[in-house]
Amino acid sequence: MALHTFVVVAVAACLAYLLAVFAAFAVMLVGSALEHARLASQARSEDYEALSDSHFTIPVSVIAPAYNEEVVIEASVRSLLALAYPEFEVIVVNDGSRDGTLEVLRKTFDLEQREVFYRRRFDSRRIRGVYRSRLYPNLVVVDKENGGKADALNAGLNLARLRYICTVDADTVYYPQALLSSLRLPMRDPATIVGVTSQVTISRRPEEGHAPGGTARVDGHLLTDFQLLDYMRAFVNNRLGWSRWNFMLCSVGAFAVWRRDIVEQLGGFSGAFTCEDIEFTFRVHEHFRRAGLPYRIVALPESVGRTEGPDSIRSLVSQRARWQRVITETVWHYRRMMFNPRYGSVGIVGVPYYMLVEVLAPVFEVLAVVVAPVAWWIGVLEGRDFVTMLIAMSLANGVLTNLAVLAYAGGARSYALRDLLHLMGLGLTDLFLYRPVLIYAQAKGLVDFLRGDKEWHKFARNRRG
Amino acid sequence: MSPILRTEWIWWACVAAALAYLLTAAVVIVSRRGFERRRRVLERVERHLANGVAGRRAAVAALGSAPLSHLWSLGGDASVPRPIHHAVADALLRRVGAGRLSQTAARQARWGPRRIAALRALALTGAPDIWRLLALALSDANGVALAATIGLLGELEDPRAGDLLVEALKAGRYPRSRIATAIESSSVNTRHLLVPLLSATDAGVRFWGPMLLARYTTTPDVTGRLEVLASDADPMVRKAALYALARMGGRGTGPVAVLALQDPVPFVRAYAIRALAALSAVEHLSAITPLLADRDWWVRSAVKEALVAAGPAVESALVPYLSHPDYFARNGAAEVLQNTGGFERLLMIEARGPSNPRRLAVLEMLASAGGLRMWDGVLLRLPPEAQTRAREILQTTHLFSGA
Repeated sequence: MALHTFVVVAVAACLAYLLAVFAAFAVMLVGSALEHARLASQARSEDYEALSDSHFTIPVSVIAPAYNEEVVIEASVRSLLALAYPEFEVIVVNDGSRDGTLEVLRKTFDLEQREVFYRRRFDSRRIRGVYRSRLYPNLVVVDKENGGKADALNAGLNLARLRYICTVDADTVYYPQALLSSLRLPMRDPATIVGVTSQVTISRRPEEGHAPGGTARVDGHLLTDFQLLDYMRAFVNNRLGWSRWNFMLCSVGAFAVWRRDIVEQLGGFSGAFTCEDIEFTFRVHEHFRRAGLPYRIVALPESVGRTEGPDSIRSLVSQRARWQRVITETVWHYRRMMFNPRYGSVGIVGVPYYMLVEVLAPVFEVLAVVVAPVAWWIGVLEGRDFVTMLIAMSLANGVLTNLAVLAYAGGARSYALRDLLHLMGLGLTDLFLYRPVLIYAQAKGLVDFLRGDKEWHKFARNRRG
Repeated sequence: MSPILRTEWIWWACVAAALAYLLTAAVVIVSRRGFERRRRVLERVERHLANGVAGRRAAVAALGSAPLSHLWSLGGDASVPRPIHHAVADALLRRVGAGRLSQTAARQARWGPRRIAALRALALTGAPDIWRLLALALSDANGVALAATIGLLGELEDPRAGDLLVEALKAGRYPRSRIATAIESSSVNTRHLLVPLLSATDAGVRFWGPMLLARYTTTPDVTGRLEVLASDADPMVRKAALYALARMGGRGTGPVAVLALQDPVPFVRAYAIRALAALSAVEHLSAITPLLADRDWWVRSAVKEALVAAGPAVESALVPYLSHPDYFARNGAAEVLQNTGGFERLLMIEARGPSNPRRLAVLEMLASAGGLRMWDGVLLRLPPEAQTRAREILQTTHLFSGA
């Protein structure tokens, strides 16, 4: 009898959680759609040609921390140097790589060691050398002892000379318009817009060409394509909504633009967390909300580049477990903001949303996985109803996927129709083929958090042919 | 029936989800097909336009058979290449007519690609009431409307476009930097409209006067007014005046910029350094170099950049700074000598011999101010035959013995 009651309560709790999550998604979807329409209309009115030659754009220091990136570093740095933007510098920070990252950089960009005296505003591990390129005057390479991503970013910040900084990943290949399309908003309102983030797409080998205008192909690798869908849903269906209501809580490490004075005022990036990006975004919100100053952190719908997604389940679990740990660490650290009206939409909606959809997800998902067969076994759920419910959930998931594909394809137009059909088809199978991997990874991340694990656990680079 | 959920609820949820899935999938397909049709039209027009005047007629004809929605969409999209915009404008005028285009362009209630396309079509085909419509659009409260109109004005080659842009800059109803970008990209000469901005009462407008005048060749009256603005009450205006003077040149620039080196605001001092560097860093060495010890980091950086850009001619003037009491002045001088190649040359000459005590003393000061890492970098750039001797020289310095 006790088991029966427990199972009934557990199933009811899981269903309530499921409904709450879908309701939250639906609300975010509405916000995202409105924001997408607004930003798309703005983007259509932009004269990018005039902007790319203008003397009146905001100069940007691009900081790319690199750890063991010998495979993709050349393509990544080349893409950064090819950004269509009037004034920018690229600072690559080799964070004590144990592979040939520095050697690839040295050879490819004809680096020579130069002593640079800089302002040491932020602590970082010892810098072994600073290199300048004979070929690209706007490229600086910093070679330092390993200290983690936040430490590398802080080292880069010390050398940054320009008014805005853009933190990027050295395993990502960027599109030429990346800076121009994201800086257009701070250029309109530099006093208020303190941060901009944008989305990246996924590929097994980001260094291999990009064909814009509807001729690019999805990877064709099941795991990578599921991740692509995951990214689309996260960015297009959710984050644009967060941005609309000004609780954009995750400026992604792969591409985040910040006003440098804000980064300096807040003491740079923190090495106390597994990952620096979400924590820094929370810190910016906390700072401005406490001070009562107007500010915005904006997410853009445009894809700014392609990043490498893991192509094995083991690597994916490692990556996603880290993400779960980072989110949980940050939400736990900033729990004082939860439901606190002092923090406006961040406290009332943003942090609770994160708690509901991200932090609590593995708890309810694992509970559902454990309880569902028992509920079936003891007759709490009828077999036919259970299967129908799974089909309904899968279709609902498919709807979310279709809407993300619609918004993404409407903006980027990079994938051909047959690939969009492929992605929409995958959306239906996501619940059965991809979600179980994520549930395991998230549960692992939660356990790792409880154990106090702070390691990065970088996933092994995909094999090249 | 399950004790928790009714079977019919689950079925209805499933049916609703299935219908929603099919509907959204259909929208994706239709939207994608529409985009592909638009792209094919665009490609056809581009091919025609590559064939000169005859091609232009063929392009307009091709657009004549395209769905009207494509024309509105192409006309309202700023990323479409300008020659295509001209062809779209002609096609819209033919198919929609000037009257309906004017009505659409004047409709303030709603902003979308249609209104922008109508404005663009009327502007590019030289419609008589376009200037009234553009002025109306500039008074719109909608940011998208303003952005599109300002971008469009930047494309037009009519002096009246310049008038409207400068008026918009003065009114400041849209970010001035973006209006300035349109003025900067415009082929219309706006010099005569910008000069009066130098005496505007609003510092925000005064700032943009010099910034935008900088691209024109100077005349004595403008230079004189810029020199006065270099001591304006607003530091941003002082900076802008120095920026313009640096780009325009002029006899009075030197003394004005030298005076600005004493400005209390660091970024004004940095711009004064850049202005002097643009004239001739070598001629103004005695004024610039002491700022290697400035209290502000950005000023010191500006000095270093100016000196490096000036090249070897500044090297001898830097030697005294290698033993300057200020740490930043010492390492700044060493960094400049490293980047001009002076350190390397000196070491090469010393390595080739015969040794010179004065040169050795300078090298010792350089090693001390620049540190071991700078020395290492210089050593790596020397030819292999000089490296051994250079290492021996390093061993004679205090730096090595202390390391």
